[in-house]
Amino acid sequence: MSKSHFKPVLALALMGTLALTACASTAGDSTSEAEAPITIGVLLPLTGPLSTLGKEMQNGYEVARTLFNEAGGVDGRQIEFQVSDAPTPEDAVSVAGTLSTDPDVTAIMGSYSSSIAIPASAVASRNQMPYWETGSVAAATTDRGLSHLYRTVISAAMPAYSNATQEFISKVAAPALESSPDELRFGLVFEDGAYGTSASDQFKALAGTEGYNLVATESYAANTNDLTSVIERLKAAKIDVLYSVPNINDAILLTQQSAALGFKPAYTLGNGTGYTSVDFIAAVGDTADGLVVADAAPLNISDSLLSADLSPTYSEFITAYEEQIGRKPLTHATLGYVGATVLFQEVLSKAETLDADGIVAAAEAVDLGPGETVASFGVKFDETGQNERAGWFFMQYQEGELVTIYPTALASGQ
Amino acid sequence: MRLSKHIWETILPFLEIHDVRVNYGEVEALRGATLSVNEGETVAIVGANGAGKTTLINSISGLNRLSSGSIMFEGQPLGDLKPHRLPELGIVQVPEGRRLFARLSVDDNLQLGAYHKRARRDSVKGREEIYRLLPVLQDRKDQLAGTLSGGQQQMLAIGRALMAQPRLLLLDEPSLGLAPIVVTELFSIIARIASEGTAVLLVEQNVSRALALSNRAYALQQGTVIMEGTGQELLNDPGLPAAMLGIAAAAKE
Amino acid sequence: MTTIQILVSGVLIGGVYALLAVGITLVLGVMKIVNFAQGELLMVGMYLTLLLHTVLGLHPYVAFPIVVVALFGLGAGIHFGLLRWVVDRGHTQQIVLTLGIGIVLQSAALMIFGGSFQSLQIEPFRGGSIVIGSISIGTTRLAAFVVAGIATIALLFLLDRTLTGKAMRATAMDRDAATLMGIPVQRVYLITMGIGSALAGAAGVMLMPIYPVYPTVGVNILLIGFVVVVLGGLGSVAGAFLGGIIIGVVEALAGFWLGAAMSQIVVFALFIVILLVRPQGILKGDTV
Repeated sequence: MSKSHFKPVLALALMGTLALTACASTAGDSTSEAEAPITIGVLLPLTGPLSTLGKEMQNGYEVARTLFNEAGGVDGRQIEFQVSDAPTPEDAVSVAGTLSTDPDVTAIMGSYSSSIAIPASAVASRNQMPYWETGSVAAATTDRGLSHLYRTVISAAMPAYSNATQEFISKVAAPALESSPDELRFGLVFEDGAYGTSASDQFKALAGTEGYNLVATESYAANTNDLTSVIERLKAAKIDVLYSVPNINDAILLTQQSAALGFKPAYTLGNGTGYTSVDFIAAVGDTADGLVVADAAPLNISDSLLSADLSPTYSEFITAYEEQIGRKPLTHATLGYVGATVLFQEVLSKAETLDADGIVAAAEAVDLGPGETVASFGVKFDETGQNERAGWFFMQYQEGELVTIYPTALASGQ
Repeated sequence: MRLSKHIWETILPFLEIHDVRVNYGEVEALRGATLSVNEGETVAIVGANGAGKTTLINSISGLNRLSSGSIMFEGQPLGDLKPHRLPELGIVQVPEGRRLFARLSVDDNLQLGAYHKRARRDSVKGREEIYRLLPVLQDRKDQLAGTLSGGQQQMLAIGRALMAQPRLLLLDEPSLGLAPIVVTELFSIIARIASEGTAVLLVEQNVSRALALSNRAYALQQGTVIMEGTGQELLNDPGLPAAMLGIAAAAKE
Repeated sequence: MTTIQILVSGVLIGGVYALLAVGITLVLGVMKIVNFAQGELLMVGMYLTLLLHTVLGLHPYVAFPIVVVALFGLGAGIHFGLLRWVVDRGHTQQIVLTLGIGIVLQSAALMIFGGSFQSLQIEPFRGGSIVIGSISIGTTRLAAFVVAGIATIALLFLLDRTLTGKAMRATAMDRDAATLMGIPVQRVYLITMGIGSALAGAAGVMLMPIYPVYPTVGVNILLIGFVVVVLGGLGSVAGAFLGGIIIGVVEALAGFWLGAAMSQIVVFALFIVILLVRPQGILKGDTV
C-alpha cells in the first residue's frame, strides 16, 4: 500500500531534480564513459500472481547478461541491471517513472505481462527513454505507436499470429484427427482477464474468417477454485478441438479437473503463458502429455536449425542457462534471453551514442534474419517498433517436456 | 469512622471495603465508601437510584477498577486478582437483571455456575441440591434459560451462583421487576441461604424487605455511606434521608 | 445426469467453503471479532502442508494433525500476543489489526516461498476419482468434504456437550456474566481463536492437493467465506456449514446453466437478497 503511494511522489521529486541537473550530466561524463558499466533498468513483476513468469523472464535476462559480459561486453563495458519489481499496473507506472528519469539508466527492458507493459512503456516514451519489450503479446502494446518502444516478441495483431494457428489447425490438428477444419467442433475457454480476453478475441476472429464451427465459448475468473461447471458445459457441447487460454493456477485446475471429470477433447490447443510455466509442469506432471501449446518461442530445438553464425549458439545458451538456473529454460526465459541479447549485441554494441537518439537509431537498423536468434525468428522493427519477423510456435508435451512440432522446419519431435 | 466491632474480626476480617473511590470518566460514582461484611452475616445496602450500590457490588466482583481505596477478602487484596478468580475464593455475584446465558438450558446454566475447579468436582451433586432447593427449575432443566418467567429466571440466577459454593453471595437488585408473591418466595430463599451460613451482601431498592432480612445494613447516598446499623435501627432512624424514607414507606404499604 | 454431477461437485467444493466459514463464524460469534486474517491462516496451512510434504515426505493427510495443531498454536499465539489487546476496543481497531496480521502473513509467505503457484502431487489422489455411473467424484474433494463434515460435527459436539464449549457459548452470550461465574474469558478467547485457526489449517491441508498455493490464495476464498457466514447467520456454526454447501451448489449450478462468468454475479445477488430479506441468515446465530 505505502509503496504505491510513495513511488509516484518519489518519481515526481526525482523528475524535478533531474530536470535541473540534466544539462550538467550530459556535458560532463565523457571522460569516465569508457570503463563505466552500462545500466539497463529491468522492469518485471517479481512478486504477486504474475511473478512466476516474470522471474522466468528475468532468468533469461541474467543468462544473456552473463554470456554477453563474458564475451567482453560493449567494448569492455559491462552490462549492469537495475532490477525493479512491478507487480501491478499502478506499480508499473511508478517504477517506469523512476527508471526513465534515472540518469544512469540507458534503457528499460521488461515486462512479460501486457498489463505491465502497456502503462510502463507509455511512461517511458513520455520521458524519452527507450523501452525494450520482450514478453507482452497484446496488440495494444505497439498499436499505440509509441516513439521509444521496441517489441522483440510477436503481437497478437500480426497476421503471422493468426496464420500460424490457422495453418496448424488445417495442416497438423485436423489431419491428426482424420478430419478437416470445417467438420470439427471447436470449443473456446479462457480466463476473463486482459490476457485471456485478447487472445480469445483473436481466436474468435479467426474462427469467423475460417468458418470454424465454434460450438462453445466459456470464460471464468482466473482466481476460481472450481471449474466443474465450465468443464461440464464443454463436455455437453461435444467438442473435438479445445482452444484454451488460461493463466497459471487455472491452467493447473483446468487440466486436473478435466482429467478427474473425464473430459478429454480429441485435441487441446493451449495458448502460451499458463501452460508454459514451471509451476504448471510441476503440478500436472505427465497428465499434460499430448497437450499442444502455442507460444512465442520454440523449445528444445537444435543448433542445426539455426544460423551457423549465431553466437552464443542455442546449445551454449541451454548449457549456460542450466548452469546458472539449474534447469532448462521455458518459453519466457527464451524470449527474455533473445530480447536481451538483441539489445546488447545489435543495439548497445552498435549504437554510435548511448543516449536515447543513438539507441533509437541503432534499433531501427537491426536486421536479423530467420535463424539468427535462439528463438529461430529474425528481428526487424516496423514503424510502430514491432518486430515484424517475430514468430508463433506450437509445442507438445511429450513425457513432461515441451517439444516443438510446428513450424515443421523446427520440429524435433512429432 | 467505625471499623470492626467484634474482636475476631480484627484478627481475620472477612470482607473489608476501605475508602473506595470509583470514577466513570468525569463522574465519581463512589466517593470513599467504607464498609465490611463478617463471615456468615447478611448485610443490606440500601439507597436511592444512582447512590452507587451497583458500582459498589461490581467493584467487589472486579468488574470496576478502583481509583483508590482497597477491598480485602480474608486479608487478601482483591484488586490483585483477575475477576474470574473470585468464585474460586468463594465470592459470587448474582448480577442485576439476572444475566443468564439465555440460549443455554437451565441445566447448562447451573453447570457453568460450577466452573471453577473446586466446584466442578461437585457439579452433579450440586445440581441435585439446587433442584431440591428450587424445584421449579427441575421440571424445566432442559428448557432454554431465556424462555423462563422472570421469577424462574431469578431463581436460576441464584441457583447458578450457589453452584459455585459461595461463602459470600453478592445479590444485586434480585427483586427488580418481580411480582410481589414471587418477591416473598425469593426473600424466603435468600433467608434460607443465609441461615445455612453463607454471608450475603444484598443490594435492594425494596428497603423494608431488605432491612428486615439483614443483620446489618448500610445506607448509601452519592457514593458514600451515610448510615450504618442493624436493619431495624436503620428502618427506625429519623435521620434516614427523606428520599429513601419515601421508598421505605412505599414498600411498607 | 450432468445436473447431478454439477450438484455433487457443488456440494463437495461447498465443504471447503464451509470449513473456512465455520472458523470465521466461531471467532465472530464468541469474540465478536471479524477475522480478516482467516484466509491467510488457510494459506499458512497450505504452505505448511506443502513443506511437510517436500521436506519430510509426509502425505498431506498424514500431515493433517501436525498442521492442525500448529495452526491452533498460531491462532492462540495471535490472540495472546495481539488480539487480546483489542477485544475490548472498537471494531475499527479489530479490523485494522486482523487485516494487518493478514498482510504480514502474506508478505512473510512471499519472502519465504516467492510468488509462484506451488502444487503438491500425491500419486493415488491426483486426478483420482470415484466413478458411479456417469458421475465422477474427485477423491481429494470428497476427502475435503468428509473432513469438513466431521470437523463441523466435532465442533458442534464440543460447543453443545463439553464444559469448555458451553463456556465458549456463555462467553459469547454474556461476557461479564461469564466472568462472574469464574469463566476465564481471555482463555476462552484464546481457545476460540486457536480452534478457528486450526479449522483454517484443516481447510488448507484439504485444499493443498486440489489447488495450487500462492501468497494471496486466501484473499479470494475469504470473500466467499464471508458470504457463507452471512448466509448461514452470523455466529452460527451449523449455518456456516449449510451456507457453504448452498453457496457451492448455487455457484456450480449457476456456472453450468448461465456460464462461469455469471456464477459470481448469482452468488453475490443471492448475498444481497439474503441481506434484504433475511439479514439474520438461514440459521440465526443460535449455536454459538
